[in-house]
This record gives sequence, C-alpha cells and structure tokens, in this order.
Amino acid sequence: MPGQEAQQIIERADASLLEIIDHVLNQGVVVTGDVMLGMANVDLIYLGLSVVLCAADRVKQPKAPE
Amino acid sequence: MLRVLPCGSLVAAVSDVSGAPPLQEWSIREHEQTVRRLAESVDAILPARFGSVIPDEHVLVQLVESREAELRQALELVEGREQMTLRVYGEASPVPELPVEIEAEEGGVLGPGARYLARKMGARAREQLVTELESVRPQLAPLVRAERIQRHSTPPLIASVYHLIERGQSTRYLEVLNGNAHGDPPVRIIASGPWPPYAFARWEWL
Repeated sequence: MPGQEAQQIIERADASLLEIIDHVLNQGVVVTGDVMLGMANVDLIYLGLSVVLCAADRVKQPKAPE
Repeated sequence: MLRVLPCGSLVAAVSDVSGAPPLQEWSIREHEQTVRRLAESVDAILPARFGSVIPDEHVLVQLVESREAELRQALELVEGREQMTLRVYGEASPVPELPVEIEAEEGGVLGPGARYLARKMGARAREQLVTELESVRPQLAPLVRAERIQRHSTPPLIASVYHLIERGQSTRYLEVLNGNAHGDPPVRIIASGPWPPYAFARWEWL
C-alpha cells in the first residue's frame, strides 16, 4: 500500500535521503487541478518528513557540512 | 528517456510515462539525479515537483505559454545560481508582534475587514522571521541573492531557510556559516547543498 511504502522509506532513510525527499516532494513547480496526476500520499509524506527530520537530529551528531 | 519539448520561447525536459512514478527510494533518487544533471547543463532551471504528470504535450505547452511571463521572471532570478538549505533546530524564540499599519476608515476606527487584514499581514511577516539566524545573517547577506523561509510547528525543527547564491559560492557560504556563532545553545543550524533551486520554483498553477 502506498502509505506503508512511504512510511518505510521514511523509517529507513538517512539524513541525506530525507533532504532529497523534502526537496523533490515539497518544492518545485506544481501542476494542480485536473491535470495533476501526482501521488496521493505527498501530504502524508511531508508531514512525516518534518517529524523525521527532527528525529534524525536527535539521534545523530551534526557533522560539518561538506 | 528525457527529451526537450519547446513551449513557446521556453523549453521543458519531459519523459513519456504510463502514470505517476512509483513512490520508492530509487525513483526519488533518480528524479533528483536527473534534475541535478539538467541543472549542471543549463544556466537556469525550474525543477518540477516529483510526481507531476501531464496528460499530453499540448496541455503542457499551453500551461507553460500561459505562464510564460512568471516563468521568465523566475528563471531570471535563478540564472547562474544554486540553492543552499538550512535547517534550524532549537527552542523557537518568541517571534515579536509586528506592527502593521492599516489606514483607519473615516472616523478613525478599523472595520472588521481591515482588522483581519492586519492580523493576516502580521502573521505573514512573523512567518518570515527566523530570529535564530540573526547572529549570522549579516555575514551571509553579501552571498545571498534571495531567500525563502518555511517555519515549522514540529520542534526542535524550527524553520527551513533556503538561500539562493551564485554558483560556485557554496564553499564560501559554508565557511561563513561555520565561522559565525549560531545563537545561544541549543540552537543548531545544519546546512546542505548546493541544490538546484527547488525552493525558488514553488509556483502553483491553478
């Protein structure tokens, strides 16, 4: 099920993948209305992202950006 | 396979698909890598959101042409530039109430509509404040060409800040960021990038 897939991605994701997910899913040009055939679980993923970005910060030592 | 679709005076990079992309790690990474390769090969790019699917070329061409002026403006902003992303963690500082001047109606009393507008403008202005960045903002200012801010209601993640900088300046940007205090603990700022300018392509097409 799409919701389970999304949750599994978030639970397995490291910090770098979470950043990728946030950029490609939360930003960018959006085509809405009748022509939008996107993913039904985008909002669910984003809500999960904010929580997981916080959780990742709690368990990982911040490293110097490269 | 990607191909270029002329849309008036602009072009779109598209691929033919049978439906929305699968929501899996490999497809998300593939999309990001594709956008990154395209960004490296052009001076200006507006990434589309993952999962955006159009029924046919004609619809896309019409959409792009109908928004050409706005798209050109956005492309001019991101030309030769890239994005740095900051995640601000900590306990949110109180955001001050910002005075918003609304002309009083005749008689000196604001009507309900004006009061609503004042509240909304104040809330929007507060949304754009990230006081936790104030200790480093003056040093970053010479490098930042544009800024987008998204506050969060999920502590300890306080806000996401997106900075548009000239391409090739990310090392300098990070040197400046790491060389300046990030406010009193427990505020932490974690930077990533450079990215293609995702946050500066947030256009909603109705």
